[in-house]
Amino acid sequence: MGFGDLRSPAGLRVLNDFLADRSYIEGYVPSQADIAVFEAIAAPPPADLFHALRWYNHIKSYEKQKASLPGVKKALGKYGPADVEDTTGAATDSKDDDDIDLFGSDDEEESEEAKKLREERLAQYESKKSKKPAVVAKSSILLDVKPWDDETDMAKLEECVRSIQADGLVWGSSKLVPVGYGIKKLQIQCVVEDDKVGTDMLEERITAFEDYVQSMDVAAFNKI
Amino acid sequence: GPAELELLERLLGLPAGNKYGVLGERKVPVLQTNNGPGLTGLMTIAAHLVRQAKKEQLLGSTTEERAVVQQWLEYRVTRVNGGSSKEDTRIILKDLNMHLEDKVYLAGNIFTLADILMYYGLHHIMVSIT
Repeated sequence: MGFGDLRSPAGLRVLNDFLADRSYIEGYVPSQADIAVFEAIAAPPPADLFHALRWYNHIKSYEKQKASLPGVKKALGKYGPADVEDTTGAATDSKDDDDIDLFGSDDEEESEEAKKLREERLAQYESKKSKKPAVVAKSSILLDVKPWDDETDMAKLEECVRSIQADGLVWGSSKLVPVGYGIKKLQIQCVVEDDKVGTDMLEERITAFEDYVQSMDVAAFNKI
Repeated sequence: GPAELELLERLLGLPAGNKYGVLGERKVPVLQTNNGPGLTGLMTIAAHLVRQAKKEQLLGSTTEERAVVQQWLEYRVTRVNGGSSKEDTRIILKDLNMHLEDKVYLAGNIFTLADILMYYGLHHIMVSIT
């Protein structure tokens, strides 16, 4: 049993399918089984794997009580569909090529060659290290924007939301999702640079359109 | 109606002994009290029983949760009755399916009276489609 590699999209898909008709990993109440699988997952599953996301958010709400949930935490290979293996542990965290022996061997006198090689590698390591800050941390956020009622002009609401401009904010696709009683909510995607735009700021600016917007929620938040 | 409320009493661990009646054409349940007219209405009586049993968390534990529980109690009473047409039933199931897409329980993460009453109300439909 198992879900494959839970750190990979394929493993998350297995989890998603498994949870399509289940509320919990085992049985009908939250247990250590859910905690075991929850802890193997690095981040909330993406919005398209909505069963896994629903389960993830639900188990997250038990964060404070996790020690007191029933059952005993077992290895990941004890949970999930019978015909799938668990390969989550197999991926080593540090596949770094940076684990170079920087000190070389002190036994013998270093030959010219060895010295040159070491210095080359040191330079490589340093340049690799210094390149890292250039990667900008970004997140993909799915927002739910709710109108006051079914008479709200959703086209105008969307216009207002998209009119919000900021450095590090890019609006993506959107759709209208019915929520009952004839009311539709606007579900809109955006990509933000983490250190420039936060959900608080988005919420402030979106809910400022008081005539159209009743509230805003973060439906999904994924690091990219 | 009354049968459902008696089931709820048992679920809540309340002692039996309450007397129920029905009112009018739509058979609205009435809880007879010792003094005066009874307490009328399914969701009113159900909420009262929950408080009597001191299980208020079944009504929700935050303002938002309480509102969502109320929303589904209202939904149950206004949209889900024995005589729903096929089309109405389909709409109800679709509403429910959509609402539950990202939730485990109707009010989100906790089991509440909303789940109980919607379950009782939809039981006969679910039985007929499974």
